[in-house]
Parts: sequence; structure tokens; C-alpha cells
Amino acid sequence: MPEQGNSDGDGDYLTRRKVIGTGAAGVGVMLAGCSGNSGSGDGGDGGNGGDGGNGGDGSGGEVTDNPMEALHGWTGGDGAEAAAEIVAMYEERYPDYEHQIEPVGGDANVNLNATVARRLANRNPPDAFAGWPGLNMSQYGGTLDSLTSIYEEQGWEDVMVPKALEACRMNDEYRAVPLGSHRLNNLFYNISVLEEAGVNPDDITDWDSFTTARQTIADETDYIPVTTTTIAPWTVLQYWAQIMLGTEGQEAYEAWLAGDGDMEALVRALEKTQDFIQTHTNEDRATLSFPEANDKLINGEAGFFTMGNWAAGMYRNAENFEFEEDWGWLPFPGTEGMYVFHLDSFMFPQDGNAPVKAEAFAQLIGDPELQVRFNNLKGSIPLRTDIDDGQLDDFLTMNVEHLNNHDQFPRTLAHGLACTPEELDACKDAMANNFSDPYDAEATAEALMAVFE
Amino acid sequence: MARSEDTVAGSPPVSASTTSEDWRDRLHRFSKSDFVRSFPYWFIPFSIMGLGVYGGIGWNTLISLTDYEGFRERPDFTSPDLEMYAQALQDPAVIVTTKNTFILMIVFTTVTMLLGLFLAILLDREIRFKEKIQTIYLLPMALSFVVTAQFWLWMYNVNNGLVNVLLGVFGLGPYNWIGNPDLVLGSVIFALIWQFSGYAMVVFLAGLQSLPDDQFEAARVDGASTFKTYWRVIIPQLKSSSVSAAVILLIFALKAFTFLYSMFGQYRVPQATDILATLMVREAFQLQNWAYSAAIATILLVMSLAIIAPYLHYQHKQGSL
Repeated sequence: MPEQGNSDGDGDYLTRRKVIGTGAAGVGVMLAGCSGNSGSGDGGDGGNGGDGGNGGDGSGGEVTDNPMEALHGWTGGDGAEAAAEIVAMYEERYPDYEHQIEPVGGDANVNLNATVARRLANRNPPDAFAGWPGLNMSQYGGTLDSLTSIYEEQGWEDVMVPKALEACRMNDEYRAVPLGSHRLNNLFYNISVLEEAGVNPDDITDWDSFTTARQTIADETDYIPVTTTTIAPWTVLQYWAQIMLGTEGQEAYEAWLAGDGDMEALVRALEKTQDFIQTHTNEDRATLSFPEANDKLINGEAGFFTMGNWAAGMYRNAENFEFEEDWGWLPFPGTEGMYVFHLDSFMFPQDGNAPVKAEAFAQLIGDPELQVRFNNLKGSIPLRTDIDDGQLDDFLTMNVEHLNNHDQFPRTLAHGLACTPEELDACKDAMANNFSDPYDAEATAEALMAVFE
Repeated sequence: MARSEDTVAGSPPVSASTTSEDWRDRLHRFSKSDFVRSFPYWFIPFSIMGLGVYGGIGWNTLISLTDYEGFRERPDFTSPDLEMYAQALQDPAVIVTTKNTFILMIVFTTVTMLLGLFLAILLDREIRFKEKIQTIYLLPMALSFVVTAQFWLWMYNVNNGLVNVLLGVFGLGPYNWIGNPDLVLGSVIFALIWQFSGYAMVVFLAGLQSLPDDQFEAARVDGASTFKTYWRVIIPQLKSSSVSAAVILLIFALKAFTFLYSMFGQYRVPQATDILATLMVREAFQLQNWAYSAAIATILLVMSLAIIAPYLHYQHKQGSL
């Protein structure tokens, strides 16, 4: 390039510097134009969003040509197979109804929730989407269809677990259909590791006996006593919630959620959580996802693992790894008699494109046959109370018994039944800011207390 | 063509006797000018790009002036204010993430450019296996963040990761690269440098190879050492290469979100690596605080412009831009 080109001379050609200058001016003009347009154009029709309390007039409409679009987050392994059952049964029952039942991948629903949020904000909602009901559902307040008439038609109030019915209600209407429940307070163990260490799982009933068992495995063998994952703050939050429930009890947990917590109780549970994470565990916990951590138990490198019982799906898929032969289950120490409750459901936004097909889909989700076929593969349990024994595998049958007979059902924190998304985010903030090496139990407890005050 | 006048420069003031003849003549010349004749070719791509990029920036800025949140209401543009920015400046999360973003941008861009320059000079010295080495260094750039993030996560594993195994040979470590909050940001930056130093190398190498050999010979005749030759003669001529490398690298620093998301599988990453981009996505898509996250996005944009602007201005004055 000739260097003398910086004169604004009267040559015939545009110089590069002029183009840059003109470009900058053009950008300014465009910016001004855009802001002018959008201000006057799009601001106007905010009116159709606010009809929060419609009384379930979704039924009885015309069948539209639009396909029924349902989004869910079950992409991997058994989740994908379970979701395929939903597709298969929808096609069996409603062969004429076109559908797009599609997964949105990602860990712990993050991408699914983000996609749903974007679609709802853009007034282009799917006809149905999977999500956690309970307080997590409050974020969708005013955008979800009432399903009360379907509940009444199908008589679901008589055949569904009351705890699930309660979690699916918002603003006095049913706004979600429960599909399956996972349980959070599990302690899985590798039988041969415990045998080799001389630990009797029946002795592990509370925190102290659990601590002794961990110590014994560390002393007697080279195995990792407990395999853990801390790559995501939700796992730390979940560890703490189980330990809080196991050592301080459900009352202290619920009191904290109600804004009336005992700071000392939180600190005690946090100190135990620190001990749980730091001692007798795998050093590479910060780089492992939960399936990788769980692999250590399956491979016989580790004794214990705690996680929601979706982790048990991996045991079922592993070869030669059978329930009560190779792996066993205990309630998390101190939570005997509790079923820490998690719930998957489908929700149905207002203004969907295919209301009649969506109603058919809602009926299908609550169907007993679908709930058995789906949950057997997913590793969660159906919410119908009228399902025959013997249709589920042993581990799931045990969980169904516990769900029906236990009397304590604390709601899960890390999976949104017990808190709104804002509160969950603040809890994760509390953990990420104060409780990730260095561990400051006091500061974490203060931050956690502040969330619900 | 020869008589056409440059319209952008504007015409000098015309004398008082403006006749219709003049007007027609000028209109005719205007229609023949480069600007008008090239219009159909550049205006369409320019407007598509402008709407997508600058329209997006404008729309985002506008949203950030509202109180838009949740699903039920549309943004209300009637009373724009800077409330979201005031809120952001007091939010400890914004302050922490701004600091992390700043460190990431500065360290990543500087080190990558220095390393790229160093490699480019080595290759320019006509070393053996030059083409092969060039390909090897450039290859990481071709890999997706999804791939590199996952294998760096494995490499950083405290027990059996390659990094600790190699350091173990020298009796160092093991270090908890990801688990230790003091190390994790450095680990992420190192992985990014690894991926992009090859790109900086290629840019600088292109610049080096466009310089004539005479300059090296002249410097040698004058008795300059190799180091002095590069320091005083060659590197000062690589200005336009360094502008393009710096701009692209800064853009990739902003895109570190993808790397972090792939590495940790979620929008919430370890606090020491939490950057404005991850905070922005959490505020928008997990909490539906659209206006607030738009304000964070604007802060991010202004910050990167503030970092690059003095440099661009300097280069513009020097005539390299």
C-alpha cells in the first residue's frame, strides 16, 4: 500500500480511510434508525400476555393442522429411551396427530429451560414442555394453561400421589401433569468394597456411623470411601441438603425454607458437608461430572456415592452389576423414613398452536401404561397409585413402597420443588461464593439464611 | 469516470450563479460516481450485516434501558432510564465477573500475541520442517471449543491428567488445576492460549513474509545483531498484523463463554472463572431478567471497546488502519 494515501485528495477512488469514516457514520445512522423503529413499533401489543386466570377453555376446540410440539431434556442413555416410549405411545394412540416431541440437550435441564424461556418471552411457546413443578413453576405464572378440567375428566385426583397433586397446583388450578418422581436421599454402595473393608451397611444409620464406615474403608483398603463430584454447585447444594435433613431433621430444613431457620443448625450441617467433601473422597472431584464420579463406584474403585436415584439408571445399564448382588441402597444416613421428593412433569403454555393435540398429550402423560413404560426405563417411579406390583423392577418397587408408606416428604432444593428459580440461584451463589475451597461455613450459612428471609 | 467527483468529500461552496444546467451536470456526475455505481454491490451485504450486528447492539441497548423481565409483559419503552446500570454497578457479582473478564482479556490477548510473534519469528528463520510445524501449531484453532474444553478438563484431572503426570516427572505437583480457585482462571486462560497462539503465529508470519529480504541484508551490513534487527526494524513494521490479531483475539476472549460452558456443562462456572458473559446468560435465561442482562451485555461491549479503542486510535494515527 502506498503510504502517501492519507490526503483527502481529489482522486477518483475512495480511499480506505474514507470508507472507514463513512462506515462509522453509517453505523451511527443505522443505530439511530433501529432504535427509532423498535421504540414505536414493537412496544405496542403487550396486552395478550396478562390473562393469568383463564378457566381452562383449552378443550373442545377444533383440531388444527399444526403439529403438537413438546420439548423435554432427556437426551442421554436411559433418558432418551424413556422419551422414545412417550413418542411411541403418542403415535400408537393418536396416529393422525402430527407431533414434534423433541429433546433439548444439556445437563440438569439448563438448555431446555433456556429454550423454553426464550420461546415464552418471544410469544412462540411450544405446546408442552417438561419441567419441575412446585415453586420452580412460579416463574411461568400467567403463561400456563389450566389443566383442571382434564384432571376432573380423568379422575386423576383419586389416583395420583397427593404430594404430586399438590406440587402441580398453582393459582388454584392444576397446571402440570406429573410424570415420574426421583428420590434424593440415597446412599448407594458397592457391596464387594464394603465387604472387603468389613463394613456392614446395616450399621450405617446416622452421621456418626457413616463417618466410622468411611474411616474404616480408608483404613482397611485402598478404595476411595466416597466418590463425589463438585464440578457444579447444585451437587454441593444437594449434599448439604441431604446432610442437613439427616442430621438436623426435616423440621430444621423446612424452618429454614420458611425463613425461620436456625443459623447454628445450618453451620453444623455445613461443617459436616465440608468434611463429607474433603475427607475420604476422590481428589479429582472438581473435574468430574456425576456420571464420571458414579463410574468409580461401578468400577469397584469406591465404596459410597450419594445422588438422586437417576444414578441407579447407570447401574442398570452396566453389565453384570445387579441390585443387591453388586450394589446396594441405603437411605442417606439419618433420613430413614424420609422420601426426599423430586418431580418431573409436563406443563402446557397458553396460546399453543395445537390445543386439541396437546390435550391428548396431557392425557397420555397421566396414563398408567405410559407412566410404567416411561419410568421403568428412566429409573423414576410413577405417580399413579393404581399400578400393579410387578410391573416395575425391584429397586423401583421399593421406592414406590417408600413413597406410599413414609410420612416425611421434604421437597428437593436443588431441583426446584422447594424454591423459586431466583432462590435456587441465590443458594447456588451462596455455595459458589463461600463454600468452594476455602470453605467458610459461617459466611455460607449467613448467605443461605438471607435467601429466604 | 475521469471527471467524476468524490461525493463523500463534499463539494466546495458553489458560486452564486447556480443554474439548472449546473444541477443537471452535477446530478449526472453524481450518478456516474463510484459511490452510486458500486451501491448495489456493497449496500445489500452492508445492510444485512448492519442490521444483524449493529441493529442487535442497538436493540440490546434499548432493552437495557427498560425494566423488562419475566414472560408476561413486553418491554415498556415509555420511561427509559439507567436504573439497570446503577444496579449492576452495585452488584458484587458484576464486579467480580468484570474483574475476571478483564484479566482474561488482557492476559489471554497479550500472551497469545507474544507467543504467536515468537513462533512466527522462529519459523521465519527458515528452520527445518517449517510447514509441518506451522500446521501442527495451527491445528488447535480448527478444533471446536466443545472438543478442546472436554479434553483440557481431562488433562487437568488432578490424579491422572496429563499436565500433572508431566509435572510429576520433574517432581512437581500434583496441582488441583480446576478445583483450586487460585489456579482455575489461569488454567482456562492457558488452554485458550494453547488454542489460539497458532492463529496469532500465522497472522504474524504472513506479515513477516511480506517484508523484503533487503531489510535483513541492510541491517546485517550495518552490523545489527539478529535480535536488534527484529526489535528495531522488523517488529515495528508488523503493526497491521498486530491490529488484526488483537481484534480477533479479543473477540475470541469474549467467546470464552462457549469454552467455559463446554468445560463445566452449565451456565454457572467456578466463581474464579465466572465472566460477564456467563453471568449475562444466567440472568437472561435462568432468571428472565432481560433488561438487567442486556445492561450487563452493554457493559461487556463497552469494556472490550475501551480496551481496544486506544490501540485502534494509535494505529489509525500511524496510518496502519
